[in-house]
Formats: sequence, C-alpha cells, structure tokens
Amino acid sequence: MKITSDPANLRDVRKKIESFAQSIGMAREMSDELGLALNEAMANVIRHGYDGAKDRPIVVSAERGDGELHLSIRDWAKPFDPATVKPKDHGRLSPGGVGMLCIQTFMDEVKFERLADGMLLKMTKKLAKHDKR
Amino acid sequence: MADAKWNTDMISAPRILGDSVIAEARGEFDLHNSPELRTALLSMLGKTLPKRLILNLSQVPYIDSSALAVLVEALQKLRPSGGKVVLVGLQPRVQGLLEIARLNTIFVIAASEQQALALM
Repeated sequence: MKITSDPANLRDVRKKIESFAQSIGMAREMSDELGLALNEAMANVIRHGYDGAKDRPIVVSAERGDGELHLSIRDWAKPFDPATVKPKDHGRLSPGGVGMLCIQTFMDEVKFERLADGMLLKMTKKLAKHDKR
Repeated sequence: MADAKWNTDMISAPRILGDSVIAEARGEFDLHNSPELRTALLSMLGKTLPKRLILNLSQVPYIDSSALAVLVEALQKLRPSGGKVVLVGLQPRVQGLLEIARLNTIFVIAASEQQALALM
C-alpha cells in the first residue's frame, strides 16, 4: 500500500498489517510485535528520512513466505545508514534508540538496502514463535 | 479544567490530590498524537512541579517510542526535585515496550491509582 508520510497514517497501516499477519496464522502477541516494529520503521522514515514532511511517499508491502511473513518499506528519502544509530544505552534515562531496538528485537531478519533514490527496508518475522530473545 | 489545551478525550484534565497530579489517558499513542500527550503532561506539570505525576494508562492498549519519550521527558522534569512518575494499570503491550526499552525500572508502576497513592 502506498501512503504519504503523515503520522496520521501510521495507525491504519499498522492495523492492516497486523490483521494480515493474523489472517495467515500469526498469533496475536506476535502480530503486536510486528505492528510495533513496522510503526517504528515508518516513524524513522518520517522523522529522519523525510524530516517530518507529511506529503512524501512510503510504500509498505507484506507477503506470506514459507512459514514467515515478509515486510518491506520503501521510501524516497535521504540515505539512512543504520550503523549510525547508536544502540540504546541501557540504564540511562533516555528513550533514544528504542525504535531501532524494537525492530531488531521483534523481527527475525532486518536488512536495509540503499537504493539510488531512497531506501528499502526488508524485514521478516516467522509465523510461529521461537526462542529468539 | 474547562480550558485544557489538549483533547481531553485522550488525556483527562488533571486532578490534584495533595502533592500529586493525577490524569488518565485513553486510546493509542504514536507519532501522530504523542505531541498532544506531551502538551498535556507538560502543561500539568506547570511551573510548580508536583511531587508525583500519576498517569492512569489502563485505557491505553498501545504506545510507541515517541509516546514513551514523552513519559521519559515528564520524568526528567520531575526528577531534579525528587519527583516521580507513576504509571498505573499498564496493559501488556505498554508493559512490553517499557521492558524492551529497559525503562520499566525508572518509573514507579502501580496496579491502581489507590495503590499509586499508597506507594508514596
């Protein structure tokens, strides 16, 4: 689905993807995790990629794989280097890096691809629970 | 508070009880409406900082990192004067985010407003 980078769109996209995940057999608790990871990824695009602009394009797609769900988020924002995101400094009074932490914790595979005109984030989550954490 | 500067359907007007400010939030909070949560909480804290901000989240099934940042900012305002933020009635997703962020220990967590007041 193609949306604009308006934060008002976050909830609708998240709920649609959560519903899709549940429809292909993902448990509610896991689809909740998926939804939060998706939200944080889109929020990163809006905040950091598009600097808060509300009218830029974001394309989100989800498809069922073999026992897993593939999610991709395409933007046409300035290049983003995930290596520059500092991991959260646990124990300090700071929420910094929580979004990226959610993505890395809740998704089984995360891959950022830098394209000529933007970024493509590919994420995978297995449909069945397994011991990742 | 009739002149609240925020949507009181989402965040109630505050109640003052002793040295505590108590409010309830309702609904889901993400990047779209966390600025309104911020406006509400910072307005409640005002110029005279309360000893504790008790925020009832029992009607909040979901928050993201932007809303979590607002809660941390409120705590940062109160901490220098020894104040605390008490989060009441956390639902599983909210509790889970606090745990993932390892911020669950910096807030006081209570099951009810009554317990929140008794904890102090």
